[in-house]
Amino acid sequence: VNKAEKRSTRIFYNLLGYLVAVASVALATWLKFLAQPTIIPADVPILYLLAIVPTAIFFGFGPALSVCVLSFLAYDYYFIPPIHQITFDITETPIAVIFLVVGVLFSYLASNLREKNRIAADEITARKKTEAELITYRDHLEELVQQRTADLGKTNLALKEEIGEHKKDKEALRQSEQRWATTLASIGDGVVATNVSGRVSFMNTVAEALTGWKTDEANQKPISEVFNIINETTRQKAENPVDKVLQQGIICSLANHTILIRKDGSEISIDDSGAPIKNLEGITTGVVLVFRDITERRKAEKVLRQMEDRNKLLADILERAPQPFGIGLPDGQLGIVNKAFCELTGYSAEELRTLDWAKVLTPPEYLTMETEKLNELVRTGQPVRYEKEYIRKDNSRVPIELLVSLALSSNGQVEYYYSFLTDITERKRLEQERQALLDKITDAQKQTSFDLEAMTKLQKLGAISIGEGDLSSILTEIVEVAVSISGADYGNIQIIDHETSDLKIVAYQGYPNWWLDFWSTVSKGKGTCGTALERGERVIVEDIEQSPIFVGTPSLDIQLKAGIHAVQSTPLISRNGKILGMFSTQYKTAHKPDDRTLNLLDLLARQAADIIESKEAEEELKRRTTELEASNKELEAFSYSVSHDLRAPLRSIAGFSNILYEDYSDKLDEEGKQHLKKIEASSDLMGQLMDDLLKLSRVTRSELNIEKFNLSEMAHEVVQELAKNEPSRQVKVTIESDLNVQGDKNLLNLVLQNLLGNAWKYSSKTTKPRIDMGTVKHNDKQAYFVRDNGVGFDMAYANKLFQPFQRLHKATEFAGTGIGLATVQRIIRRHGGEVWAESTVGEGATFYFTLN
Amino acid sequence: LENKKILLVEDNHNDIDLTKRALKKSNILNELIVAEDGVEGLKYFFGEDGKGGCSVEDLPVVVLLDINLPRINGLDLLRRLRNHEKTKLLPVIILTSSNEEKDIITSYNLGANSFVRKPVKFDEFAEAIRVLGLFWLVINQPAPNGKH
Repeated sequence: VNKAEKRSTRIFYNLLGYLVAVASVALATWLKFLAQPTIIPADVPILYLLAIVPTAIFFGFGPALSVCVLSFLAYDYYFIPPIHQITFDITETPIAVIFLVVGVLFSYLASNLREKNRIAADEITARKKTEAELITYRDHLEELVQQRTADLGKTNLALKEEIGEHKKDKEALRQSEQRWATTLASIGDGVVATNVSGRVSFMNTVAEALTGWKTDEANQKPISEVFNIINETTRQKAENPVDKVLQQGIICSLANHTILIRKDGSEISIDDSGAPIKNLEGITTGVVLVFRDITERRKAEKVLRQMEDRNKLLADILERAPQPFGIGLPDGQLGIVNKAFCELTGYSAEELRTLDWAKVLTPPEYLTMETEKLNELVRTGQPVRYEKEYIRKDNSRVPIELLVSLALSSNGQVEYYYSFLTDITERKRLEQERQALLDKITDAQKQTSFDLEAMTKLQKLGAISIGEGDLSSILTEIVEVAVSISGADYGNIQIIDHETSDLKIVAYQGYPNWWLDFWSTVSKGKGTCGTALERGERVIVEDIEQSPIFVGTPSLDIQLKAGIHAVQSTPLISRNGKILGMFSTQYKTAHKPDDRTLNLLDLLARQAADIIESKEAEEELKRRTTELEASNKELEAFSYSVSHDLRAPLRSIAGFSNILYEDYSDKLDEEGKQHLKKIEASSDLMGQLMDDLLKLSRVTRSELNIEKFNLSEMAHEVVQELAKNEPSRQVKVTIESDLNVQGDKNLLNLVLQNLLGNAWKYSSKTTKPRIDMGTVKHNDKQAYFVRDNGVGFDMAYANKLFQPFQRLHKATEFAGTGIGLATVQRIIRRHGGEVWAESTVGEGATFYFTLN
Repeated sequence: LENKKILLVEDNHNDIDLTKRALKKSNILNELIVAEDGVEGLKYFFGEDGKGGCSVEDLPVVVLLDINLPRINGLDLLRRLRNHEKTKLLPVIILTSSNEEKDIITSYNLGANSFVRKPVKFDEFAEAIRVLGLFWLVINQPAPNGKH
């Protein structure tokens, strides 16, 4: 059928060629007419040439030659003059001739080329055909090989026997082969058979599934292509068992781990073996390759190996870990311990394995606790953590912390305990240190808050001004503070009665009345306070029953009855060292006050002493003020009396002397008259004396009225007054100008009257009298002076100068009452200043004074 | 001038004599009434128990009043005189030994018209009396009697 078809096709093809030849010439001619003469000159047959080439290429020499001849005729007939005639004059139509020649040449070349192509194509087809035939043949051969391979591939004795028995029974053989093929197809392993050249001839379904190749695809493919295996670890191409079997002719199974690369590139781990297929003559005709997917197994193996590795690693880590680790068995034996555990306990692993950790390692006091903990562990299954101690081999103890976990067997029984231990010696030490530190801090805090409290109380006491409250209530507060900050049960302050020198309680806290009665007055030597008074220093009785101060005295019973067992008494000493009183605190238990408390008591005693002292000073001041006021009043009354009552008789004396003189002068002789004059003059002097005394007393009594004024001007006025009273005298007076002072104007006027008056008076017998007034520096203060060049005075009597009624000159020489300078001194003192004098007899005197 | 009386309240007889002599020396011849203490002074003006006493015509032209007096002293007397209608404007001169500031101030506060300290020297005393008499008896124009 095929050949007939091909022939008819060829005929049709040839016919088509000639038709195309005619058509192409007709087309070229038509085109030439269309193009003529505008585009292509009439004598150029290019379009015909173009018609030749494709015809030649597609349809061969024959049609091409037809085109050539037809073209020549058409060209010659239509385009070469004489047109519409066929002329064959070669000389006249060279182009036509050339065209013909070229056309024939083209036809030949093109058809030749086509022919060559066709031959080549035919050859390829033939080759393909041959190949297909070869393959078919090979298939057939390989099928046979497979069958043979099946015969020998497995040591199926039964089959062998059957083969042996029914060697010549072809039916049996066929059946056997069929059965064998079924078996192969149904077994779990992949089976691939190859021919002797190693090309695949058979694959069972498992093999197909494993390799990813279908039998059809794989058939006759080299085994290495279908069964592409590599080494699992090196990933290098592995030796194909088929090749090995073919080379060695023996069964070989590959123990090395092999990976099959499937058709789609995925990988599976396989286990494979190969066996030669031999024919009856024992010649190897092929190889049967059996393999199975061991991916899962390999995975499992890998996991197992990893686990083993990990277990080994863990065990190694545990062994080397610095943390002690131990496994205890329920029977009390130690299972496994690591090196750190041995080091911790001082026992070797062997020793530990034989001893009972609960009895030998654990001190008995921990057993109950540990049992409880382990019970809790068993009950809850949760790891327990606790601290205990181990007794080491050398009997020393080491504090440890355990974290014990439980391992249960599959039936829920305790298999073993495993414990991680921590040597907490350092931690314990740190904890102890920390605790000690904390205790210290707590103590310090307590101390601080105590101090703060004490300070606050002291400050509060300090804030109490002496003016506030009476002495007893202030001292009571001090006692209360002392009792509270010294932890005493009782406290009291006694003050010395200045008349009897006994101690008398003025402030107290917490005594029964009969106790206070007993101790209300204490003389030297009685009790602790009396002893402290006697010794002038603090006395501490830590236990009165042991103290000679109390033992054998009635005081002991009183103290014990009040529950007092310890006492301290601190004298209250004034700033100038005088004992003012006693500060005692009592304690209900034998007690020794610490330094801090004693310091605090000292502080309080100091404060109490100050308060008492200032109170006493205050009272003394009050008393003196009262006295002074009284004496001032007396003085005032006296002055009054002087000014009135003494003056009246004086006036009578003077008055009646005068009357006597006037009315009875005729009855008196000269001497009598002189006497009367003397009486009168004396009365007058006495009047002056009394006036001066009154001035002096007024200076003391009158209020100071301090103001600022110019002392120089005041001095000038005083001098003017003096000059007016004695206009005959010529005295050179120099007064420093603008001496501005602050003071009582009236009193300072009196000062100037006295000082300038004295200078005036005592220079009256000097030939060139002069008075100077000015200032000098005296002890960094400004001192004013009044200087004269008069008679002066003997410095030996300088101390008498300022005393009232003391005169250094005879009344006959210089008049005076002797009260002036005393007045000056009082005035200057009232101004807070000083007055003094310097002099040389006959050369004058200088009086200095300062003002505050 | 002779009708005008002078009242001297003074307990010291010597002083009374000296005052009389000084007045005489100064030619002051007015009648001198002497009360020897405050009680007597009051009696002169207001009689016994404050009833009666001198008539307006018998009121002295000036009172010379000592401070230091028995029973009722000079300052008390002055206070009573000033509290009484009849004697409210009567010229009163405090004539005393004292020169105490306190006495001077109290005197003026109570309404004394003048304060004179008796000098010890008789000459000076006589001079003071003379000047006083001249001033109060001659120069001074007193408030009209009963017109106040």
